[in-house]
Amino acid sequence: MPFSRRDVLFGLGGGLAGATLTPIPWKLLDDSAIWTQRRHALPVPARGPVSERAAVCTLCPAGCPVRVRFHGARPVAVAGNRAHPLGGGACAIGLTLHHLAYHPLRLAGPALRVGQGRAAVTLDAAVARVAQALAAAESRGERVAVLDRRPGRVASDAWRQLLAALPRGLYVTTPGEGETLATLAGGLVKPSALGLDLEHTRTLVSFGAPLLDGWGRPARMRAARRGLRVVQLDAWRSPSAALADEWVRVRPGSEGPMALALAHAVARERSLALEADVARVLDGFAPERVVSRTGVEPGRVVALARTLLQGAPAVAIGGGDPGGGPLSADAERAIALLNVVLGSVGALGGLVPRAPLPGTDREDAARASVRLADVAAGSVGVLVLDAADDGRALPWPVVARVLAKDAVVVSLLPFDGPLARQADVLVPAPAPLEGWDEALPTADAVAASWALSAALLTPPAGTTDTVAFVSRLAEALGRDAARATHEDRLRARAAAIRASGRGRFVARTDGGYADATPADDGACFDALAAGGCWIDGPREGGPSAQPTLRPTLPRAEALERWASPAIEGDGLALVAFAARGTAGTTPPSPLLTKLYQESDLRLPATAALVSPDVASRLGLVERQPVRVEGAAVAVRAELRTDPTLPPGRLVLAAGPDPQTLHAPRGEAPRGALPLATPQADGAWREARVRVREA
Amino acid sequence: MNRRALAAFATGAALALAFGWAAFPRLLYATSEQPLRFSHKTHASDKTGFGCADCHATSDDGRFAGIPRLESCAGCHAEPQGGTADEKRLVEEYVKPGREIEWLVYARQPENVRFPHAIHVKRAGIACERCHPGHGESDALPAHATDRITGQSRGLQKMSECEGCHAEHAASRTACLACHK
Repeated sequence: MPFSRRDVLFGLGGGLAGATLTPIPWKLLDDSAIWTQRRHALPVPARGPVSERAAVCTLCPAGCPVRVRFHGARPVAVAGNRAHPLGGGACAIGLTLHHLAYHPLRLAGPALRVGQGRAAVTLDAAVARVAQALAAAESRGERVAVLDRRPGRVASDAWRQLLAALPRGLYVTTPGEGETLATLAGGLVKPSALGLDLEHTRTLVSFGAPLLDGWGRPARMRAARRGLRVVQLDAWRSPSAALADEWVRVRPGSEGPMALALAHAVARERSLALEADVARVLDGFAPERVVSRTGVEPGRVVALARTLLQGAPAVAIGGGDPGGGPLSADAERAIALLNVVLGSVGALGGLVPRAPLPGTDREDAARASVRLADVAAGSVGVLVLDAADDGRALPWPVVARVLAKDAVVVSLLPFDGPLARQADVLVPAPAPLEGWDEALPTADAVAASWALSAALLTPPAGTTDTVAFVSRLAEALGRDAARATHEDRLRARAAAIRASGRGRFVARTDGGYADATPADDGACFDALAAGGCWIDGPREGGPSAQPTLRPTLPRAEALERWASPAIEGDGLALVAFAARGTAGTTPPSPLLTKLYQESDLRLPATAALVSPDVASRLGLVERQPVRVEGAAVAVRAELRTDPTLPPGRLVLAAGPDPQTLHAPRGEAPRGALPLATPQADGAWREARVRVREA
Repeated sequence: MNRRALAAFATGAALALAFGWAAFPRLLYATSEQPLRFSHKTHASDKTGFGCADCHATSDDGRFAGIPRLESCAGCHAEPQGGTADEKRLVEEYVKPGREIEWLVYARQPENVRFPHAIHVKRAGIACERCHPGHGESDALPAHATDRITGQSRGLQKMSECEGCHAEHAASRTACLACHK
């Protein structure tokens, strides 16, 4: 019996119906879903032997030791290294360290700015252009400056040597999170760095510093948290304020007068006999006299002073916020003075002297550097932006202030970003994990330490190690200085540490870490390069050796301004902030969208926070697109309300820049940084903004 | 629909069902035999007294519970424990030369996922059988199957299964980075 067309069609229909009851369509749909991704983004499982290597995360000054897991030559995962003597885990940013070498904003070779674009050039051509600019700047009597965000490395030494050989060289740094300690150290009669004896501290009072959200060495803070009372003075309920034992809402920019009011109350409670100049300063800052400036009721200030005295040893910490920028130098002096009044300098549980890292204790080192805020405006003819990142925001206008007309900016930054985009010459350095790097003592450390991060990945051919660039530049300028390689310099520092006879070396072993006695300098360096570290021993004399201190007092004009009632400006006070490592020059991994855009676990730079009263007064509602207008620039954001936020303030994150995560290039600026208003003292946190419907 | 059309429809459906359930999996998955026959039933019997964790130990940081390394086998199998060909091969080809056995892993996770056994087994108290049912009683290891399209093992747990359990127990259900790296 022949098949008719009708039979065939029924047979096919039956086949289709039957197929829906099998795995064929469903499994094929499921499996082929992988093809819906962009072809270049298709995951290709790494193959090869699995290995694990030690490294140090250098995305912020914490320098957390990490373990990098490799499949073959490809890094596939990063994990914190709790077994390491300096370890204690890693943050979400550190866990994505291995992504950065493949970041879309990665710069892979030298380039010169041509009009609005860039032209790729050879390293020789880039070095020649820089040498030519240096000669021109010197002939015009302008300074040649290097901006180093992470001083103290061997690469910093290379810059210092080169700059010392130049008649108008200037080594420039920016304030870090340890600025309060540095301010106090500057007043010591016998120069020394200071550390925080956190293990014996009972109370910490933070003037806007993110003590519980990424400050110093977080693992140390976590370990000391039990038994430690943290009081956070902040303009908003920041992540650190949310984790603190007590949050005191202060007016934005009132850190200086608040510290003096607190010092006044402490001195009054303790009936201290103060030196005449200190007493004169504090006289004008009785809590009731500065209430309009600080926004804190006098009774609360007195209660807080009693808390500090009952919870002694107590320490006050400033240093600013990674996104909000540093406090003014006068505010830091006021916080330093509070520490003096609290008697925390040199005391057990207070701020204690720390011996310098061997090989870095030359007396000329501190004197040879200058703060960016102290560089004369328009005086720099060539500015080199060193590759190191401290994880803190630095708005371009703050840098641009020091530049002379027609100045040449040279960027060694490995990634494209707001600072690199201003550069005339780009010589990108290797990305994290691609070159040598160091973990230096953190701001809070009571003992010096040193760890190395070896080059675990091969950098692109166009990148140039910072020390190699310094050598090339010295050669082009005909100077003998700074010719040693990066590894040679690291070996020399390791040898200097070993020769000092101080502290202990810790080497990586099969079972973890153990104290080691390297037989020679080579073995010492090898142990450090393989993931070991050096940790200094306790300082002779210990905390009981009270240093002599002559604190620098806030300047008269600052005292006069703080003592007068605050004048409300138009609009809202901008409160900028960022988590450490998200607003620096290293863009975050695109995976951090999980934290900032998909989960809302962190407030992104696309969300502006105001109080419900302000939103209601302006006729704005939750999640409404708005324009936040500064003095010269406006940014777009989505409005959010926070009932804990006092009226008159707008909170906006400075990072991570959403454009570095995934947004298309050329989008309107976002976040707090474009709104920053540089002040004469290097701070940029006091800005006023208006909010309108977008 | 007449009887003849119904027969054609039924024949088509039967052929599709037969192809879909019998032939399609064979086409989709490339199978590979394990290097040696291994009986979980024998090793986990009352006679030996071994539990799962005796051989599949969890590393200190809670990563993969682990296929036992050769040294675990060599403790008992320095000499053949029976007369089977596989027993002889184990001793001659692997234990004596110190060569690791290239076991094929049924549930190897993609590299963008981490699955810490320690958290699931020790903290959450999930029994091994919950995810590996019947494995401990099997007398021979099944062939390893690799999906020709995705390149992943057939035994790989689906994300929906992870999500379902996490949602049920409110375990890090909104945290992508809990599982993804």
